[in-house]
This record gives sequence, structure tokens and C-alpha cells, in this order.
Amino acid sequence: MMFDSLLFKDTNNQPKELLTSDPIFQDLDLEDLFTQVNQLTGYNITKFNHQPLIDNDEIRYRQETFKDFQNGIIYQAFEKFTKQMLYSFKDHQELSHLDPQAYKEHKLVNILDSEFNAIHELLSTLTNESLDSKGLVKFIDYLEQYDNSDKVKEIKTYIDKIDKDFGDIYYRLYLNGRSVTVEALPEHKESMDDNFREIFAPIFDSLNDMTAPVKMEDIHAAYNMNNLQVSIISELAKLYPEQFAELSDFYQKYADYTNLLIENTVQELTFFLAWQKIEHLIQKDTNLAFTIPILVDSGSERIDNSFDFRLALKLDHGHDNPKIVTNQFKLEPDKPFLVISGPNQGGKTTYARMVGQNLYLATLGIAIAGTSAKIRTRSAIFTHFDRQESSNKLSGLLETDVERIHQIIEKVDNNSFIILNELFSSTSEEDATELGNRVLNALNDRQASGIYVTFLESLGNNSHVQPLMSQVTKDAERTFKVIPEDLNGKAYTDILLKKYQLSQADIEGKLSK
Amino acid sequence: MKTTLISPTDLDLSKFELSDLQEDVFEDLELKPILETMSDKDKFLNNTILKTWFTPLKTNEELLYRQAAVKDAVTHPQEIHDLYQVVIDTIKTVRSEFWSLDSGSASYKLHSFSRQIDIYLNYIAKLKEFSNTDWQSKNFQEFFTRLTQIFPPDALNTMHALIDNIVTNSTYSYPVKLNKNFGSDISDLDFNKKAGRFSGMMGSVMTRFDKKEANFMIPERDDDSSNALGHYNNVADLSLATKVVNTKYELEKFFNELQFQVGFLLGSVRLKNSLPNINISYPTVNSKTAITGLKNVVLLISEDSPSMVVGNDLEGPNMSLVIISGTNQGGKTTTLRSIGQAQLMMDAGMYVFADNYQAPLYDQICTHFKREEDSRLTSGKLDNELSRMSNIVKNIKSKSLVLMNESFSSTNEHEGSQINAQVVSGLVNSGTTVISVTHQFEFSKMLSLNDDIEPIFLRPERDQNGHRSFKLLKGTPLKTSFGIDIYDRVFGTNTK
Repeated sequence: MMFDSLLFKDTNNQPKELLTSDPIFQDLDLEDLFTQVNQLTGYNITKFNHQPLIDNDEIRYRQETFKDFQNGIIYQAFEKFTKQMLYSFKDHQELSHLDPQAYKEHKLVNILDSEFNAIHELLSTLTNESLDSKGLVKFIDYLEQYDNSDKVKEIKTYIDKIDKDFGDIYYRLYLNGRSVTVEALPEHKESMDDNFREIFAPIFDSLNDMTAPVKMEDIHAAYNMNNLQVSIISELAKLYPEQFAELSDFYQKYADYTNLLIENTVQELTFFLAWQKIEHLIQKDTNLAFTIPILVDSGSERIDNSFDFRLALKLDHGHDNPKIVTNQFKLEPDKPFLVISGPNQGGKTTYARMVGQNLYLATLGIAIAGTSAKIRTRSAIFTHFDRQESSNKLSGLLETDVERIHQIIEKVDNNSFIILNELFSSTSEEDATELGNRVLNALNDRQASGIYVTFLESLGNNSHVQPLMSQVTKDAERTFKVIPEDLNGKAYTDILLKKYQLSQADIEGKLSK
Repeated sequence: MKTTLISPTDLDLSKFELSDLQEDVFEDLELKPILETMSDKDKFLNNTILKTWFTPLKTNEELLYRQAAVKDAVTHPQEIHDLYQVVIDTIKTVRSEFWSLDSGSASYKLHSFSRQIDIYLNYIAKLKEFSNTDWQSKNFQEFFTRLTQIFPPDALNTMHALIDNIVTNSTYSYPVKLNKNFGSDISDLDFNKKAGRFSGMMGSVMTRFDKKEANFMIPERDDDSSNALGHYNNVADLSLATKVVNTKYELEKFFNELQFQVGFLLGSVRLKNSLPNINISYPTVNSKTAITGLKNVVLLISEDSPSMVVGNDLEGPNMSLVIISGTNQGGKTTTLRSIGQAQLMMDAGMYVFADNYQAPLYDQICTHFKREEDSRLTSGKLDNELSRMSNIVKNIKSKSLVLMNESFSSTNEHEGSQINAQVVSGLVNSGTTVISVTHQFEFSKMLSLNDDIEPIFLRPERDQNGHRSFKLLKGTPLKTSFGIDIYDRVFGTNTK
């Protein structure tokens, strides 16, 4: 089969692109993560990141390719190739603005030369590497055929000839006020520099001191060809007519030469390179790991030693020692909801985000945070997080909560994952518990699964849920570990009282003396 | 270019700041009047002298080298003064004619720095005139020999001519290669012999007609071309400008070094000349200390009749610990200071005001003096004393001299003695030389010293009538501090 894409097995049936306004991107810190990935890698893969795959075969097609990129040699070969090609494409786009004509013509020679070199170098670097993914194998096959095609060979031969002819062009500039004289085939002359060295050398004990680098300011030449060089080249064209005629001929023939499939594939490569680079960056300085998840259709799911991707990236680039706590995710079919409770700032929300990120990023076909993972592909993820900014509109808040949850329940099916964070916090505990149980039951009726972060202990008694508690030490220090445990709000309070010796027993004991 | 007048290798001229410990030494030994006599309150010389004082010489060879320069300077006071003046004039002229900025393009620096080199070359000629003086030391003789070798008679003319060529160059040209991006790879500026009236026609074998060339004018308002031309010229000038700048720096460094070294010598000359009738001697290095007729320099400077100042003697094989005790106002502190001053001057290679001075070289001198100013803060005083001592101990070098004056007297005598004994025993046993002025009678009994260490005790001489002659003599400490003497004298209650 012919090669046509690294990102999609079936290019005609691409999944739809989600709107960036979808709440999951903000609630799960994904938008932030995507922005960071672009900034840290210099690529722009925003579009691909908002296009989650639904079909497991499509995801596996990408996972295979991603796995190949986890090999450092393969990664580096493609990274170099991609950078060179992107650079050339940019130059090619700007070619029409260039002036003078001779410069434009010569620039085309350089652009095509560097593209052919990039392809050739990629192929020769990969000669001894074995690629396992169907996507990359087919792409490399395609490039090999292309590299050996008569057309490419013909252009390369012409480029070599031009390079040789222009490599011999020397001239001398004579400057007198605004008058510039360009002399072809200049003779050798002694330099002022040599003269100075000879006469002043005796002053120095070591000649290295005479040539030690000195900071000099300079006028920076314009990015493109400057006017002076334009004038010089116009004069050189008169002094070296045969060479410049050759250039014009080359340009006439190949000005429109291009290969769209290669251009498109280079854009697709940036997706794999960017994610692999970021994950490598985190792994390098920490004991954190990324794993390509195994996709299952049913049964229990788990992710070992996982963490919040966005948080890890943030810490990795700060100067503080990266200390990211890892957590276990486990979901059994008979208890499809995790209810998480524990002290404030104890890692409940981070845990919920971690799970949400993992389920979403798995649908992009990349490795996710953890040492091993076995998960079901979710066709949709819904989030509802308590929003700080709306907390002043107390009266309307409960209503908004309920409306929003209603919309979600309408849309969910057995392939949906729902993350609810401090839902119904604006009503009484009794009310909220009742509402919470109803929501859990309704979602369970639709065979959905998800996470419910709450301070309501009794939700832990719902028969469809697995309760988890974020942990603290005896000295009231948060550990950010979230583990299965019956919900008990008093545990943390007891620890705090003990620390300050303010428990009932402490106070009674003290006063009785 | 090396100077090496006062040291076989040139010195670090970076700005010198006294450390906290050195600040204490400066205060405690009352060095300010000495410094000001030497520097005539000139800022540069103050810094030069302080830096030299607090950078003690390490070996006998270094000491002899420095002493040779000082001796030569002291016998040529006028020449040293004039030489220093030439150096000052050079530096001033360059500074006043050029505000040479460290920023600037290669083309700018090429011209600006070339003209500064020209000034330096003019003053080099003036320096060379001093080579006719009858210098006695190798230090000065070799300095002028080197100067003549670097600048033989014709050299200065050749240098001036090249500088002139650079500054007035009107035919600006350089070779260029067309690079792969169709830009210009520019080589170094051509050397075009200064065109005499006729040489233009004879200079090149090829005439303009034989050459393949094309010409254009940069339009008046074409800033882009002008900027590019500026850039091309900077590239062509870069390598030459780098050498010119470094040459200027080399000459500047040479004159700065010369200012520093001759400056120190000038200071030494001035101090000697301010006390024309007082004996000086050049110390010799010996592990055995033997000092005779040592006088306190500050006393000499401030006395109307310096010849009346009494000298002191000090002698001891492997001197590790000297304890000076006895009568208040018996000249103990003055003597302690005189030893510190002389040792500092010796370590810096100067003469001392003594009939004879033989001592080891010390890597460092530290002082721990009772502070009058903190007599009011009774609570924190001992803390302050202990903290200053801990700072000394933290920074102490292998061979140090610690001068202690009434240390740990801010607490009661018993406690003070115990602390003092612990500190002094610790210092002495670990190889530090300590000279301690104390009125703590108990202190010397509490010392627990290594077997091979024998303390030297000094106390002020006291005549039969109880009058002191401010001269210290060897002797074991007496229990009373003779405060009663003073009392008696002041109250006129002497019954004898």
C-alpha cells in the first residue's frame, strides 16, 4: 500500500477537532500543557492535540510510530531531518520576495540542495536501524524511491556544477567615500594586520595576549540581502557572466519544484518529535516514567506510578528540586466511580486531573504518565470543576451546577468518563449528599465511569463507588498520596489537634493538674 | 611588557579592600599616620601601600628582591619622584585626551586606540631617559635594559609611522570571497603603503586598464548600504583592531603596573625622608627572633623630637609566646604596636626603625585588642570578643602572628584568664606565634603548652623610685599591675 500519513491510518476518516473552549482543556490543565509543549519544542502541534482518536486501530497505528521514536538514534535522525526541512520550506515560501534576481535564483539552488541533503542524511543514518512501525517503514521506503528518482538525480547534478563554478569567485573592494570599486580576480596583498603584528610583537611577552578576543560592537546587517551586497552582485554578474547565466537557467527549470506528501509528513513528524522531546525532558531529571498504554475493551483498568503531566513539566523547569508524588489508578467494572476525599490542598484535584489527562492523552496515541498502563479508550471525557470566579454568584451557582450536570448526563454513554470536582458545594450537606448520590446513580445507569472529588463522606457508601483518601502524616504533613480507604473526615482533624496539644484529652489533662 | 621592580612577577592590580581582620590590624596598630606619611594622602598610593602591606612576602628570596628595590629607591629619592611624575603624566594625558569607551565598533576602536598608542609611545621615550641613572639594584638595571631591547632606537619611529598609516589611511581596500549565501566573506584590511607624491604610478605593475573591475556609487540616502558598508569595514578591521586594542591595553597595563610599583617605592622614600635622623635597618629572615632598639613609628612621626623615643629589645629562640605584663601605662601597648608595625613593614620588604631586626616572615598578622568603644555594652562585650577571636581562628594561615592586647578583659579576671589560657594555648600549640599584653596574673599559670614551648615574659622596667622608663625587660609576671604606682604618683602619696 502507498504511504500517505503517519498520523492517520485512514486519512479519509479523520476524527473531528474539539473546540479549545471545551472545559476539559482548562479543567485538566491540558491547554496549558499543550502551550508549554509548543513553547519548549518550537513546533506547533496544537491542531493535532485537539483531535483525539476514537478508533483503537488508529490509536495503535500511532502508538507503534511513537514507540519507534523512543529509540534515541531514530528520534535524533528525524529531529534533524524535520528541522532542516522546515527551515527549507520557510525559505521556499519567502523566495518570491527576494531581490535581486540573481540572489533569488541562487537561493533556490541552496534550498533544493539542503532538502536533498536532509533526505539523504536521514536515509543513511537509518540504514542500520530497524523501524518497527508500519508508518515509518512506508515513509522511509517512499523517501528512498524519491531519492533515487531520475528527476532528483538530474537536479542534484546541476546543483553540483553551479556550486563548483561559484566557489571560485573572489573579488577586492576599494572604498573611497561613497564610491565602491569591485575588482575581479584580485592579486594577493600584504595585510595591515600582518604588518602591525610584526612591528608591535616585541611589546608582548606572549603573542596570545596580542590576539585575545576584544568585544566590538557591530552594525547588524539586514536579515535579507543588503543593498550594498545587491549592488556588488549586480557588478559581479557583469564580471562573471557565464556563471550567472547558468543560475538563470536553473531557476527557469525548477522554480516550481515541490513535493506535497513530504511537506505534509514533515508537519506530522513534529507531533511525535514534540511529545517525545517533552517526555524525555521530564524523564531525564526525575524518576518519573512514561508508558504506552495497552488498550482493552473491558475488565479492570490500572495505571501504575502515574502523575500530573503539567505539574511535572512545571517543576522540571523551575529550579526547585522536582519532587512529584506518583499515584496508582485502579478502576474495577463493579465499582466504576472513584470518590476522593481528604484535607484541602492534599492532592485530590491533582489526582483527578492526572486520570483525566491520561485518558485523553492516550487517545492521541502517545505515551502517558506512568510505568505501565492498561485502559479502555474513552470516546468522550467530561469535566465539571468548581470555578473560583463564579463563587460570588451564590444564588445561581447550584442551578448552574445542576444544569451543567444535566447536559453532561444527557450526552454520556458507556464509553464516557466524567470528572466532577466539589460539585454542589453551594448547598447544605444533606442536600448535596442526596444530589450527589442521584448523579452517581444516573451516571451508573448509563454505564459511564468517572471520578467524584468531594468532602461528603457518605458518598463513599454508594454501592457503585470505590472510596479513596488523600493521605497526611502524624505531623499533619500532606503526602499527596491518594489511596483506597473509607472516607473519614475526622482523621486529619485529630492529627492537627494532637500536634498543637489541643485535643480534649490534652486540655483536660493539663487543666486537671 | 614586564615591570618587576618590586617583585619578580608582576602584581595583581585589582582594587584592594581591607577584610574585617585587616581593618582591625589597621586600627589596632595605628597605621593611619604611617600610611598618610607615605602616600601624602593620595588615594591611589593609599590603596597601593595597603595592598602591599597586606600581601606579605613568602620567601627570603622575595624579601631580598624587594629590599634591593627599596634600598635603591631610598638612595635615589629625586629620580624616584621624577619617574613617578612621568608615569602620572602619561596616564593623565591619555585619560584627558580620550574618553575611550569599552563599547564601540572595530573601525571606531581601530582609530581611537591607535591614537592612544601614539601617546604612550611618546612617554616611553621619556621613560628611557632614566636609564642613564646610576641604578645599583638589578631590579632597576634590568628594567631599563628590557625597555631598550623592546624599543631600540628605530623602533619608536617605525611604530609611529605605522600608527600614522592606520589613522590617516585613505585607500581602503580588502579582498572578499562570494560565499554560499551570496554574501561577502571579508578578509583583513590591505596594507597600502602611504602614497608619496609619485609612488601611485609606480606602485602596481598592473595598471587600471589591465584590471577587470566595475564601479558604483552608494546613493546619498541609502542608509541600508551605508550600514552594510560600515559592517563590511568592521569585519575587515576586526583582526587589526583587536591587536591595536590589546596593544593599547598592554601599554596601559605596563604604565599602571609601573605606577603601582614606583608608587610603593615613592612611599618608602617619603617615610624615610620624614625621619632623616632615625636609624633604619633592613630585617633579616631567621627563625630566631632578635630585635634591638625597636621604635614605634607612630610615636616617631608624632613626637617633636623623635630622637628621644626609647627603643625596645626582644630576643628568643623559636619564639612562640611572649607575655607582656605589668604596670599600667608602662609602654606595653606601644611596644606591642611597634612590633606589629615593624613586622608588617618587614613582611612587605621595607626597612624598619630599629638598630637590628631579625625575625621569621609571617603569612599573616592578626590583632585582638581590647576595645574601649564597646565598654558601654557590658552584656554583649564578651560575645563580641569571642566572636572576633573566632573569626581570627577561622581565617588563620599556617604561619601567623597574633597580637593580643588585654584580651577577654571584659569579664571578671578569673573567667577571662581561663578563656585567654584556652585560646592562647590552642593557638600556640598549633604553631601560631602569640604576643599577648595582659594584666591577668592567673592567666600564665593556666596555660597548658606543649613541652617544647617556653614562654617569654616581659615587664616594664621600673626604677627604684617607681618611675618607669618605658622600656621592657625580661622577667616573670608580678601579681600587681602597679596601678598603685600611678595612684601614688597622681595623688602624690609616694612615701619612699
